[in-house]
Amino acid sequence: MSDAPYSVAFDRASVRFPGSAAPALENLSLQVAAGELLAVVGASGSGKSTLLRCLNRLVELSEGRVCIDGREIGEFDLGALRRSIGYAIQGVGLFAHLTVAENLALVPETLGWPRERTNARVDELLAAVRLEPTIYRNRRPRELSGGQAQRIGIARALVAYPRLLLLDEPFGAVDPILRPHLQAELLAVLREARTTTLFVTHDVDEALLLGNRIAVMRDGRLQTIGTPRALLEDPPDAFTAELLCGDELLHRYRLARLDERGRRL
Amino acid sequence: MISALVAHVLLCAVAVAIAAAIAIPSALALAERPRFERPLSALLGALYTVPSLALLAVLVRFVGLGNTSVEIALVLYALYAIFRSTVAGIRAIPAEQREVAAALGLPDWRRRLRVDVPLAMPAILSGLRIATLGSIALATLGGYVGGSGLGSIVFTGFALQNRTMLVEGALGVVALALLGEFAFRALEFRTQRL
Repeated sequence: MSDAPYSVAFDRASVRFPGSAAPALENLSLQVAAGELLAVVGASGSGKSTLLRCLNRLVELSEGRVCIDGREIGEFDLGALRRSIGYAIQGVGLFAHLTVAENLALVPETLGWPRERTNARVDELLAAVRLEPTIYRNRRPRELSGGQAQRIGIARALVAYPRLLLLDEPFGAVDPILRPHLQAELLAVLREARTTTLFVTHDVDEALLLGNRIAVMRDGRLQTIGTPRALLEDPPDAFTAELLCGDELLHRYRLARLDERGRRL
Repeated sequence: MISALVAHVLLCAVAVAIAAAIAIPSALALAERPRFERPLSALLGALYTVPSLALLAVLVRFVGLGNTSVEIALVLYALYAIFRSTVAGIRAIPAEQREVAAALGLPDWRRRLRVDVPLAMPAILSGLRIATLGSIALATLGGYVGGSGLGSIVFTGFALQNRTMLVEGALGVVALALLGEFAFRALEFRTQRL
């Protein structure tokens, strides 16, 4: 049913946008193992989103290479590559003229799934993001709250068993009170989905909670990358220390939460 | 009178349908390719600026008197409004929406039909409305070159100094135009409610 998750490798990748002096990505190398969940943190404009968008080729590299499963990304058929990658962004981008079910069915339809299989999968995912299928299947995006729309956006990214999942601040527009709830839910859904995930956020606690590893971006460069524990216990540089650890109290709180997460997993 | 009314409606409906069948697919294919879209827009715009009586005269010279000439003129005029408004409608779709559509990996034509067309529908409909109203007016003029629409009644009434015929024909055209306007406005209103 589902194909094996992709592994991803950036090799000295740079992206320059015409008309802007500073590169959006500069000489960036990193690997993401199949099945890993990499959280990408950094200030806005640090190149986090650009990093994701290189993978579904919404952005093309100026230099360097991006490989998926060891093959350079340009060798893949663009449509097939994109259909095998789930993508959800802040503000979701659900299509207003389609119902929830129709939004979710866009890729399965293209893949030629039989209608019953698509319907069953749509219901399965709605249930997974805890939206009762019989109620929400035929709603239109304007009839959803922000949090509901966000979950549908993630469900749409997951519907066709993606081999790679790109989430760009998926909870950026969600009420802070609702966020922990959605994060826990996402974690459960991802564990089920068993795919490789790159997750962009500017919320450090979200990154610490979700990531197997965390990549810290700064001005288009990869500042550092490591496991949450390694980066928290022994931050390799002052920038990372300030971003991840905060003051002493916050640092201790975050370490404690990490222990708690370790016990839960 | 009734047969002229029916003929008028047919002339316009066929013209708008043919023009839409040409202009909408071309606009969908070319909206993202300004290098090809711009010359076509310019060509259609140039056709549109040719005075209608002059265009009819030229067509009569090559095609002869009658409905065929009128029909060709109607199509040529309708193309411009439909093409331009479809292109504008597609370009007005927010960039993020188009990007999400691209990231889903839908093949081009599926994306255009499932995403671009519905999102651009209000603009496409307003193009069709303008084309329809233009056709209703122009088809009247077609009576002058042997077209069988309401214009034939108007021009005959004019020639015979028959005021009743003249008014009947004119009122028919006005009623059609109002009906067309109303029908399209209603459709546009429905699509905008989404």
